[in-house]
Amino acid sequence: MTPAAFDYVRAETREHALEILACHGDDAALLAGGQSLVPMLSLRLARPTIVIDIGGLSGLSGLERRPEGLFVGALTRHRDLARAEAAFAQIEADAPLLSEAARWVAHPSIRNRGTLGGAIALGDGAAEYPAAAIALGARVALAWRRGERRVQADAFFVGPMMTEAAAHEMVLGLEIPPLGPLDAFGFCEIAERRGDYALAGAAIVARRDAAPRVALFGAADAAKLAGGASKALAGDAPADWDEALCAAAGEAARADLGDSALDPARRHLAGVAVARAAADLAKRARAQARGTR
Amino acid sequence: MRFSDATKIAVTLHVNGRPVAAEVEPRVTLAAFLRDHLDLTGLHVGCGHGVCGACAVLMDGLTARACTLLAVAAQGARIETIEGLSDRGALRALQRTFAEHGALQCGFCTPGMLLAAHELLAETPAPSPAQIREALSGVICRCTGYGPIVDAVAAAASESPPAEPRPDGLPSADAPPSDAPPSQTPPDEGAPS
Repeated sequence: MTPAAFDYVRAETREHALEILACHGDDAALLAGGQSLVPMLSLRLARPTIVIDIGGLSGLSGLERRPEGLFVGALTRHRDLARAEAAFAQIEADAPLLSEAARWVAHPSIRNRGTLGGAIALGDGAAEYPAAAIALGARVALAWRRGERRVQADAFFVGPMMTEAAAHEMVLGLEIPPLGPLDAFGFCEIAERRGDYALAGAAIVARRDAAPRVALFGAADAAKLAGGASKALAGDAPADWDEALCAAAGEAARADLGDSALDPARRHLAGVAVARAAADLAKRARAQARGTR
Repeated sequence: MRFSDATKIAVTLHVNGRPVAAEVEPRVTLAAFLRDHLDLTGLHVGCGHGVCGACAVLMDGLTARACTLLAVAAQGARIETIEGLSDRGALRALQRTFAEHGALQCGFCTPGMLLAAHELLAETPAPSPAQIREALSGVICRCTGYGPIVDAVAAAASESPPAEPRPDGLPSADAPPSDAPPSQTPPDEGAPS
């Protein structure tokens, strides 16, 4: 249906947007790609007094190599992230897991407009980026009128479409420790059709110098780190992960979910997703070892 | 606070090669604006919340769901609807193969299917059936069972490329208005911007 009436302002600068956000807090909504917000407005699930359009802001999109790590701006569109190999190569910092996750977001016409920041700020439990961010050990960069702060991704997504961001804060982007050439990732999403909301999914990152991190999405109301599954994969080199180990990690993920799974079917599928993502990672690790990425 | 008489916002954009200036309430979606204000009823509103894909348009050369966009947020954009694409001959091959293969019955999803197929073929000129299904997975059809649509797209893909459209993207009978910026290369000439 037609959205309820709201006021609208095009933010001219980041400071302008944060100023208005500070005045209105919960009564304001930030508009970037609009792929989640506008449907919510049309269904009247969202009834902001004012919509602040940040789609035209400069300096909030794209990839940058910073001392703290790889920075991916909030206004980066899924489409561009999905095709970012060349861009990542140019800045010599890689997060191919993000590109893979981007390829699984919804459908092409939604990827053309939707943004990473929008997905992170919404915190849908079925979304890909929150799990990818957790697996990467990334931090969410937030800004408000008086400053900025960073929140670890594994502490950011706290409930169904609930994040640690305050009403007067805006997501600036993700700060990611880049993956080195000897690090590997794995990803698996299970949905009825490609592009449907995930029933269950897993993102795994195995860094040379750290324990593997398994993150789940789809099966519970928020993305989360699966501690038991991560521990199950620690110890062996990823190139040696065999079917039995991957299955064991899957079983551990089911235990990690426990009653937080939305239903038993999803809990089962979460285990399948973890096993497949682990196998995916092992395959990539073996290809890297052979020099054939 | 609620606005019973919401302030209208001025917006200027290009639609099918022509500049458009209007004043609209912020809550008017691009779909409603194109259909109700400009009489471009080729795009269809099936669900109104971004799921069915029937409201597809091109925005700055790439497909977008018009019901997920606010008209005021399309300030400065270059929009092409199914009418515009059809009029400049960009969909000739697909329209013919859709007819030949029975890829439409009621026609409600057809604009969405054509635009999705058009974008797929611009980026992947020789798609596999699996790639076709994946590219069309965001458009819902109640009539055909999808098989004929996949066949029609595959048939269009297997034909040789159509004749080059005009570089400014306008139908041949019209000259661009003097204040219109030159259009970008139409998507079917190569990788979209």
